[in-house]
This record gives sequence, C-alpha cells and structure tokens, in this order.
Amino acid sequence: MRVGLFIPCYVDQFYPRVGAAAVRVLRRFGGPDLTLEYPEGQVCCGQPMANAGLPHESKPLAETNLRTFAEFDAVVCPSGSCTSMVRNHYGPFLEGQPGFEELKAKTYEFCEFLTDVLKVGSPSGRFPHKVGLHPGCHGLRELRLGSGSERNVEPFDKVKSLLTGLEGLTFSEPARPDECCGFGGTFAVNEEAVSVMMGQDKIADHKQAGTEALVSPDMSCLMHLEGVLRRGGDKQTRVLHVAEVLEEATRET
Amino acid sequence: MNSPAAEPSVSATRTALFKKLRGRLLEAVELPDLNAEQWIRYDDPLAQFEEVLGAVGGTPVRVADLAAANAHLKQLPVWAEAKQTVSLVDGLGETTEGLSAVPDVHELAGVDVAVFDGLFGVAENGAVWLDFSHSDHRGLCVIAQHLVLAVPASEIEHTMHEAYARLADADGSHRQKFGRGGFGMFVSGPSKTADIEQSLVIGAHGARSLTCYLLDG
Amino acid sequence: MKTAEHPDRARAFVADDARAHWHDESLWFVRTKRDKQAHSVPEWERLRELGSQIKRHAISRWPDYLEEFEKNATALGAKVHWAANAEEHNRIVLGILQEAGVEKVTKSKSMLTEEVHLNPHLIRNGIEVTDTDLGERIVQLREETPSHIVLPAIHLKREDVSETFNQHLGTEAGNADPAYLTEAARQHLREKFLGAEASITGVNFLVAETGGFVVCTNEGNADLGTSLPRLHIACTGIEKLVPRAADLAVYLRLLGRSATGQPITTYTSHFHGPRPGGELHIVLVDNGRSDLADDPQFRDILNCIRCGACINTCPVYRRSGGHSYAATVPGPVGSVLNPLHALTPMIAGEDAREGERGDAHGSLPFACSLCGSCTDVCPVKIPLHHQLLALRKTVGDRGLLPWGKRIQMKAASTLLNSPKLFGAVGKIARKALPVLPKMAVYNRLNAWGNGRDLPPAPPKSFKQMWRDELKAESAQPSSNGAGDAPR
Repeated sequence: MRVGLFIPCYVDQFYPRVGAAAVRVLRRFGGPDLTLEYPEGQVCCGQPMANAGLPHESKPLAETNLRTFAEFDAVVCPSGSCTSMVRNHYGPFLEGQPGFEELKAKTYEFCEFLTDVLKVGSPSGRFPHKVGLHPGCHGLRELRLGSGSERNVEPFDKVKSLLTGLEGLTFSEPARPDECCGFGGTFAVNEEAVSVMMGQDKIADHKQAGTEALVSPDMSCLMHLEGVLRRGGDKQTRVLHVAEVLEEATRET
Repeated sequence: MNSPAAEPSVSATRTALFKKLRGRLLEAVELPDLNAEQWIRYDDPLAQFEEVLGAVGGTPVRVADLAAANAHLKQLPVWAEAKQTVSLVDGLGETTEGLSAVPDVHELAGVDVAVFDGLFGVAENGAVWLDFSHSDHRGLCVIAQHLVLAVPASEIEHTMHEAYARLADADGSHRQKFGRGGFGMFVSGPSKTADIEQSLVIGAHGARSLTCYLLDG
Repeated sequence: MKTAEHPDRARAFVADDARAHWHDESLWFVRTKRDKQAHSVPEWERLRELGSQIKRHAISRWPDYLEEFEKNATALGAKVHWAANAEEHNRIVLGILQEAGVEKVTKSKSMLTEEVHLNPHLIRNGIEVTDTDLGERIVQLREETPSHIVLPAIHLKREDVSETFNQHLGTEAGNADPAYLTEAARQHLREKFLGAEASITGVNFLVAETGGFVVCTNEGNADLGTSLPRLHIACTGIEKLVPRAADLAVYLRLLGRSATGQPITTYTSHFHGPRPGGELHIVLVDNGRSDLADDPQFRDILNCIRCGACINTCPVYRRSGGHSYAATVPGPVGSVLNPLHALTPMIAGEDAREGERGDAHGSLPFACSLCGSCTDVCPVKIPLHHQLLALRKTVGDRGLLPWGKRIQMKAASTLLNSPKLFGAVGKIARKALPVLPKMAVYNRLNAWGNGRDLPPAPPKSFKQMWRDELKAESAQPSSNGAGDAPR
C-alpha cells in the first residue's frame, strides 16, 4: 500500500517531531507492505480561510491537494481537524472532479488508520505516565473517533484504544473529558477572551485530575493548550501528540 | 377602535403566505410510521412510575382501594390543615360546602387541596393524564395549593407513545375524540422552578405538593 | 456592519472571572442533567432521528398542514389569525385586547412575543402586561431581556434577584433564599393572575390533525393564566407544526430531557378550542420563517423546538453570557437564526429586511469554535455547527467581513498554496522567533500572545527533516534507530 503522509502546515513548521513520530509509528506497524511517502507538493488543507468565511480562498488549496495525493492508495494525516476538512468540507470545491470521491474515501486520520486499516488493536509497550486525553472536537464529532458524551451510543474511543495496552500508563479523568479546548482556528484570535478562558478551564480540569502528560490526536488544540500551560508557568506537564506517545512507548518492541 | 381581525388585511397576509409556500417545491420527506418502532419496556412499569414521580417531587402512595386512600388522605397534614377542599373523586376527600358547582375559577382561589381522577400514568416520566373534557375545573389543578390524584395501579403505560395510543380513535389517529372536549394535561409532580440560580424550588405557581394514590383495587 | 460586537461583549463578561465561571458551571450542571436523561432512554438516538424526520416532513408539506390546522382549530371554535411580521402580529394582539376592553394581561413564556417585542407595544398602548414565568418576571422587573430561552434569568445571582424583589415586591433586604424569593413571587403573581382580563401564551406544538396545541411549563403559569380570564391569545411561529397527535410523544420525550434534564415538564397542557364561555385566538406568525425553507443548507433550523440544549452545551455561550449575543435567541441556534433572518433576503438578491432587523448579527456565526457539541445534543438533529460555518460564508459573500480580514486571508491562500513560498516564510519566522525580544512577540497586536505562549520554534521544518533523515530511515528501527526523535 502506498501511503501519502499529509502533514498539517503548522505541524510542518512548529511540530516536525510529531510528523517524525507519525512516520516511525506508521512504518513500525505498517510492515513491509506499507510504503510511506511525503509528497512535497501538498499544501495546507484550507481550513483557516473557509472558517473565516472566505472558502473561495480555500479552493485552490483543495485542488492542489487533490492533484498531489491522486497517486496514493491512502492519505494519512495526524490531525482530526485537517482530515475532516478534506473528508467533510471539500465538497463545494471539488464536487464532480475526478478523484474527489476516492480522496474522501482514502483520507484517514492517523489514529483511525491504525485502528481501522492497519488494525493494530492495543499495541504493547511502555509509557509510565498519567495521561490526560484531549480528543479534539473535529476528530471526535466530525470523524467519530469516539462516541462522545452527548450521544447515547455504545461507548468507543479509537484514540484511547491505541494506548490501553501500554504498560505503566494510567488515564486521568477530567470532569469534562470532551469539552472544547477553545482553539477553534481563527476563533482563537477572533474571540480571544473566551478562547483563552476555555483553554485555562481545560488546563485546570486536567490539573485537578492529575494529568502528567496531555495527549491529543490534534496538535492545533495542543498548541493552544500548551501556550496556556506554559504562560501559566507550568514547565512540567508533557504535551504530546498520540503519535509521539506511541512512538516513544513502542520503540523497543 | 380597530377591529382586531381587520379581515381584508388578514386574509391578504394569509393569501400571500400560502402563495409563497405553495409556489415552492420541496423534496418529499416521508412521515415515519411510529407503530413500527421499538420503545423501552420496563420490567415493572408501576415501580418505574413510582420512582420517577418521587424523583420529580411527587409522592406516590400505593393503596389497596379508595377507602384506604381516603383514610391515608385524612391523615395528611395538608388535608388536616386545609380550610377549603374540592374533590372530584367520589369517596376520596370531600368538597367544602358551596364550592362544587362554582364555575368561575376565581372563586376557587382559596382552595387548599384539590382531588382529581387520573385516567392513567406514564412510567417513563411520572406523568398522569388529566382529562377536563367534561368540566371546567382545569384551573383548579393549578390554583389549589396541593394536588391529590387517584390513578388505578393497573393503568400505567410504559411510554408516551402508549399514552397517546390509548387516547386515540379506533383507527389509531386522533381525529375524532381526542381533544374534542377542550382540555387535557399531563401533570408530572408538583409545580416547580429553578429560575433563581438553578436552585430547585417546589411550588412556583401551581401545586406545592402532589400526592398520587395508586389504587390496587 | 459590526463584526467586532460579540467578541467585545464577551470580553466584558469574561473580565468578571468569578461570575463567568459561576455562569459556566450553572449551565454545565444543566448539560449534565440532560446527559443523564438522554442516557436513560435506550432509543434516544432513534428519537432524535424521528424528531428530525417528522419536522422535515411537516415543512415539506407546510401549507397543507397549516391549512389542516386552521380548519380543525376553527371547527373547535378558535379564531385563527395570520401575521406576516412583527408589526402585524402586534397590531392583531392589541386589536383583540382593545376589542375586549382588556387593560391587564398576564403572559406565560413565549420567545415569539420577545422576538416581535410585543410587551413594549402593548405597554405603549396602555395595557399592563405581566410576565408570569418567574425568570421572565425577574428580568421584566429589572427592565432587561431574557439571557436564555428556557432559563431567562440564568445570568443573575440570587443576590441580584433579592435586590430586585426588595425594590419591587418589598421583600426583606438581604434575604436571598431562593425559596423565600420564589414564595414572594408566587404571592405577587397570584394577584396578577386573579386580576388579569386576558392571558397570552406561547405554543410548543401545533397539531395539524386535531387543531389543538400544546404548551409546556414547569411552574403552571400558562395553566393558571389561561384558566382565569375568559380570553386566551396563543402566539406562535408557523413552524411549530406537527402532523399528528401521536408525534407529540416523540417531542415530549425529547423536549424536557433536552431542556432541563427532566423526564417531562411538570405541566403539558393540550388546548383544543376555547374554554366553555371563553374565547381563544391563535396568532400564526411568519416573520421571516417562510424564507428559511428556501435554502437546503439552513432548512433544518425550522426543526427547532426551542429546548435550549445547544445553548447549555455551548462552551462560548456559557462563558460569554446570553446578552453578549444581543438577540432574542442566543447561543448556537440564535447565532444561526438571527443572521439568517437578517441576511436571507439579501442572498435572494432582495433588499435587506426592513424594520427592526437592522443589525445583521454578522459576528454571531464567528462566536463559535466549531466544536460541534450543539449538533450532537440537538434533539431534532439540526446540523448547527455546519450551518454556522456556512453562514460565515454568507457573511463573507455579502461583503460584511472587515477589509483587513479579507486581504489577510487572500494573502494566506497565496502563501499556503505555494509549498516553496510557505517553506521560505516559515524558515524565516522560525529563525526570527527565538531571537526576537519578548516585547516584539507578545504585544497588544498579537491576540494569540495575550494569554498564551507561542510554541518553541524548531530548527527544521518537517519537510526538511523528511529530506535529511526520515525519508531514508529504516522501516523497522532498532532500539536506538528512532532514538533521535526531537523530544
């Protein structure tokens, strides 16, 4: 299987370590049949412009990505939000274009690619920390990586299932496990006061729950939460993408 | 003084609205057949009813028959202290002299306890169906300080679906008899509000307490 | 167009940290009660689907059901009125009251009458209107507007209510016990009920099949109000229709649980025609609703049963307060409805709606982190957060976004669509950030930096790492093969 890695623009610039961890984990669990490539023609998913009310500015980016990933069997992205943009919000730009239906069907968020395609189950490894999971709203509610607290469905959590086999890992239990962190893209600066309060509340909830490592499948939420955390003087709490946890925990197996 | 229903303008609005609505073709959406659905069934609907009614602030009292209910009622402090009572249930409480035939609810403002027949209860939400089709005592159930209901213990429906089903015509619709008498209500527990700081207070405008006798006999 | 409005009002609310947190907690409490109830009904998700489908069906045959309702209601002895807009609605209601010589009227909760500003109209014409829902009475005495459609006084603390009641009802100064205050309101409003010559209610559901309607309250104020005077006026939007009485079961199972976490409201009253010797008027109001069915993106907003669940779960509403929306209906549903009402005719190429809808409410679709919780709690499955996103485009299409934002996003599009340019700019920024003085990074122009640090700038981009090391890395690293991960 030829897998094209889709790295969010802010991960490319600010969190290359997350991309590196994703590469290593995918190779580790993908086996010899998985060929991983990073097509350099890829661009931002276009969400900032669409969410700002100017989706026509996103259209050229969607078209670029459609071309860039045309040749791959699967596209894997370590972000629920960017994955959802492709899968759920490219319609108005790409409807009817050749390869668009395939692009939607073959684009996976990193965790769901592991659970649903590679079917890795709950890998064994070691991560001796108290982990506080932050699901990321788009992964949770637009991609359904988990059941969520609102709906009355059989509980499931694809992100958590990837970590439950790790030795030494315990989960903290925040009071509001899937409330939004307040990032929200342009919302973070448009509605700065509310956004920061939401971030502070999320951090406070994790602190009272005893979180040692704040872990999410979305680095954008973590950029916001880490910003609040560090501004508050906390240099201790680790802030990690799920890929990093898996990479670190399964390194020697 | 203007006529309230200045007829020409009202019908002009109506005409324009219907023209607009009829001029637009919306894709069809099927009306679901609710009879084809599976709803929750409680192992013991009566116990469920009692539990939920208790949770919403009501007091369910299981009794053998009307006489037992009456004996229980007479010992309730709200009954003992009541100056005016009205009972629409023969054999359960009494109506204070001169109140039974009063048609104007204003004159019932001093009623402390009102006693009604409930046709049936609903297990999922502790509600009792009160049918005022043949009386204008509907105001009484909110103006009285305390409410007492009598419901046969055998008449507890599982959900609201069964509740409406038993109010239906033979063909399952509600075209003929439902509502033809004017007014009916589900009442679930005493009047309440949480409008001040989400702090629950029983006894907003209506009954300060609701006692529901569940009659075995 | 004032797109800065919601953020400014939100900032003011957030500035009182203790109060903003108290507000957030109060509403979160309601959300948790809702969750408990939703999880107690095994067929909950099916009910939501049915709730959506029945409403969508009703809208797809809107004129048929309206006609059926009118015919049946009229046959029961009610008088049905049609109002195109707020002005006509208010004129009709005033006319009915004046015809009957009414001077005092009680009103139970009706968001419609808030929307059309009925109270000021009646008061201007010499009619005393008393809101009888406790929360509404509190805000009425304070000359405020409700900050929530189900919990009108949720923004107020008990001490605020105590002060208001002390001033208007003569309660003891300093006594802020909710039971004491509620009792005082009970006594005060009993007098109003007994003295009223007419009563106005809202409507939760109109039943086409029977010509009746349902009103839900916890306090019993709609029942007390309507059973005393002989005249009852029910004011309702034309979208409140359900085809069959049996459909009520679906909605009543959803409504109370979604709204306040109750299995059903205390009083669920079914009105069919006037009381014996009484008079019943039903005023059916369009006021822009009929426009909402045109665009399939937004049509489902007509499903709304006004439970307020989206408002309670909204992390922005909880922290910015209802008044920050400056609209009758706040929160996610309000952020859809208000701009939609204001902008829909403009989409259709008509002039802006005249009259009271001068404000386009253009900042409301942006008062949202797009978390989607509203969509998942909605008992009638309105895709609220998708509608909010779509409305941002509408605001953009109408040229209502600030010029700076449009230029900024155009530049971002160009930059982001060029991997080369993006890489080059990113490199400069990552090199510059660590050496810039803190003052240059965190200043008033940087809204990010007021409350948050920026991430530390790594030496290489991912693309560079891929070229330099990752591309050639072995597929199954040994114990030290992946040991250089930049942690």
